[in-house]
Amino acid sequence: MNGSIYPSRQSSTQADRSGSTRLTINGGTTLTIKNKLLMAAVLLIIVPQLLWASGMSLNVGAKASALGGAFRGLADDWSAAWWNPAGLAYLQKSEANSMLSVIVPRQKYEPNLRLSNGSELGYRNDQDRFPDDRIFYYPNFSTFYKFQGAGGFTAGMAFFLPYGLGSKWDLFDPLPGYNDVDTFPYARIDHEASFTVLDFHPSLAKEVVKDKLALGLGLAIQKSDFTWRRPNFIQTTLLPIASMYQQPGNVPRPYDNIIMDSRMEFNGWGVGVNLGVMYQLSPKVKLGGSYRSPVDIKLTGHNRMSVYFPNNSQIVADDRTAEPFFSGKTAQTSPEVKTTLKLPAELGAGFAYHPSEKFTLMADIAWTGWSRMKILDLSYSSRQQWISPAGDTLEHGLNPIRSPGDTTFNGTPFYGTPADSAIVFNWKDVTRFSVGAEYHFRERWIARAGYYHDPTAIPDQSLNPLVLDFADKNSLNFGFIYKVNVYEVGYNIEYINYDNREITQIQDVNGDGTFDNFPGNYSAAQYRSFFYFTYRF
Amino acid sequence: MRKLSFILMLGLSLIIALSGCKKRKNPTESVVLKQPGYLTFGEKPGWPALDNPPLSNQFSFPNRKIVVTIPGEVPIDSLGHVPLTWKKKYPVLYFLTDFGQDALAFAQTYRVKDIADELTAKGEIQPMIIVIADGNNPMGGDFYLNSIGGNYEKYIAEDVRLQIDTLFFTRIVNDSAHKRGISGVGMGGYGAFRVAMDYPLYYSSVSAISAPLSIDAGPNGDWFNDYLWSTAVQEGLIFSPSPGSNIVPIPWVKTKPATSWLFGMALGFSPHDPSDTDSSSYFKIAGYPIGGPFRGVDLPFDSTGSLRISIWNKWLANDIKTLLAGPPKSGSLTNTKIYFDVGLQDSYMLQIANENFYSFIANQSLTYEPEYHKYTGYGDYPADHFNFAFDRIVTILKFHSKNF
Repeated sequence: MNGSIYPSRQSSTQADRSGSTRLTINGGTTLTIKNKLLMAAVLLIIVPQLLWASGMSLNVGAKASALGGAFRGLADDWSAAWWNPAGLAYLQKSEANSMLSVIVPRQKYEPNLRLSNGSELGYRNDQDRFPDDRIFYYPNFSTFYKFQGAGGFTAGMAFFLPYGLGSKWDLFDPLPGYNDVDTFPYARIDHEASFTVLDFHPSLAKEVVKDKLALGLGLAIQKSDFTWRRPNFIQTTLLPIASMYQQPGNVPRPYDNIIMDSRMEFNGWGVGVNLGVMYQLSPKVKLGGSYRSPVDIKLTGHNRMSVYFPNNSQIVADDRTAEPFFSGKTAQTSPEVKTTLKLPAELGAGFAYHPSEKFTLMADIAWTGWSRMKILDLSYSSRQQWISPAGDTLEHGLNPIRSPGDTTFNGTPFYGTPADSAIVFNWKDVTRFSVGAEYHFRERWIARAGYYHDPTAIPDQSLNPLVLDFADKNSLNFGFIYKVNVYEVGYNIEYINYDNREITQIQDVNGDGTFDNFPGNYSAAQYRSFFYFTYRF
Repeated sequence: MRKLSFILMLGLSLIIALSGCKKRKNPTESVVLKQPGYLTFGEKPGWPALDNPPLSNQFSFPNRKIVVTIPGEVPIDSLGHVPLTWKKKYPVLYFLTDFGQDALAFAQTYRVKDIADELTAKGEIQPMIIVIADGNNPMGGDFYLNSIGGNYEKYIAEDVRLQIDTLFFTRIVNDSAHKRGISGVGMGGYGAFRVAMDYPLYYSSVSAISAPLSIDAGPNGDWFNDYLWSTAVQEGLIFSPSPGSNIVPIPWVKTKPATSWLFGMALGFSPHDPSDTDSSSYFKIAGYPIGGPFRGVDLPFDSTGSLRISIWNKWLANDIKTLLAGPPKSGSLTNTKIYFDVGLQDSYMLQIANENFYSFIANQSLTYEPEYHKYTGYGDYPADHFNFAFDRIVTILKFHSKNF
């Protein structure tokens, strides 16, 4: 069974005298395996430098993207490794692929972030804010080889980014009068998130019942980089000040909270598997289903915390014990932090229907278990001193910020991990619907279009502008492909529209004193372009 | 035709792809113009001082300072000189500090200048001159009244105002009453209302933060009995067994806020009349005037807990609500814009006083509807006497700015 509705160009392999396998394309070029590997290497080299991507789930593969992700029932190119590895059994030939995605996210957020009684916190409320607008480029590439031995099977390796997000915002500045901004200006980029999963994906597929049933298996070796930055607000009463400012009622605003810039950077590895099945119901209808296991990525990194102390000489004059904390200085520490990122399982099914030789219709439904992303508990494995800009250790070795409660580390009071002891996600499972169509309008030309509806996984209680999944999404896709001999080039474009969303109630889900959602008005769109090149041999 | 279609489709795709590429800009950050610091006056020759009070100049702090902040855009030099070519004039907001509060300490603690500069830069208030004055003395203050400790009300309403309107400020001060407002916190809020009532032609707007605007029993309670007197007793207010030998605690202490306010109010409301032979609630201010004979205050209750009507009537005669309820002051704020606020967890229980005052003022025939705001806390952070300082200063500045 061949996945294409066009007559396939027959290929055959034979061993040459040197022992290397030689591929002969009908009346065409003959390439050695060495040359093919060399070409694959070239493809690797020419792909652009990897940059952070934006968006939550990133569609893998240009063809699957053009079809709106309605690909499990077709799965006839390399990206089947992600969508449905059983489809790899139906590759026409061995192939090497390179793809470049160009992603332009367009978020807008109007903060309405105030304390529960309506008081200002320092957010730039009631104005449209944009992140630093950037264009993200990132590649996918793969090589799959159809082996003739053992009854025929397909094996190979793909590299792609199944998840990614990233944004940098200027949303906050300390309230007027908090400190001397000329001396210690607060960071311009005060909110930042970057979340990228690189998937090295060896896969294997075999047609177990000829023209009827194929099975596929993939191994997801995933490397994740995760950055999270936001201000934390630490109650002044947690400072080791001796007397009057230990009472909440005695601390005048804006000194009720000390501001700390917390920027965490992690990376780590995890492993998962995916399974697929492809069933030919009739010559015109194929069914596909796949399952991806959840992946736990053990992350290790550092939390670079910078405390911006307020500056108030009068308070210092009133209470000398307040001096280290009201002198307008900064202090830093960067302890090691560990956590586990729990990526979701996914279960999906789809079909492909060929009403004519030139026309294919597809539909998919997929459930993603984002509810695994609950609370990212941060484990601080070391205790470090807080250091002033001048290099001094503060407070005779004691750190200036005390955790709520009596947390201890190795039997001694543990300072330095205030409110940022956890990152609250509490996401929910989502089900996505996709439809797609493909039309061969000329012998060498193919047009593709797709649509999907993808609900947001983020509830009101943890919505924030850092993660570009503001609301339910509707995506329109269109692309065209040109084939010549063993080469195929294509381009498709995707437009994602996000519903507008308003959050009115600020919430601290886990009661750690740090709010977990960002009230305000959200809107967004995304433009994605996909360029790809395939070489078949 | 197919080529044309192809080109059109390609072009359309590129247009869609590129349409999202334009870089957007966040609202531009405003440039905050600042003067290097506060201007302080009070020690220079020619600057007005309190009249020599019966309790002596030492009691009234002869080195008292007036603190002034002027808009950052004014090209003032280090000597306080403004170029002759400068034509722009600004409204003036007078701000009276709380009980026992020094003007410069207040300005520095709450960074009034920084807040005003930033709000001005953002266009949220119009540039204005802010004059911060205090009524502090060894007893904490007399609520800015003309009393034996000094003629504070006259000092604020006439002496300082004239001084601000003239000298070098004449080039930057708009001396129209429409461009002049007065405000204060606690004792200063009371003082602001008294000054605005007694000098209605000088001020177009008045505001108060956590001020005792009603001391007597109203529909929402009785602040004097429910808080001031009962708490002072709890704090250890005791009378000497021999009348005439009671001593006012000096200096006032923060740990006995009700007692301190009680004597401060008595200093302003009911200074002891030497011709009054009833000394049952008389407390002597020991040491003042220097060299004696010492003066003192009368409290509304005597040692047996009996109300002294004559003294209480003196208190009522200084109660803002009572004054506004009848002649001659009943119409004094008719054309004045009014704002006042209170924290619902006020440590002086002033929410009672302010609720009563609002119940009264809301039913008066006024040209401008009075504005009243109640602060609530968040989490375990209460809305106390002035701990929402930042928010309240911002609101006060905006209120006066829109009314200038």
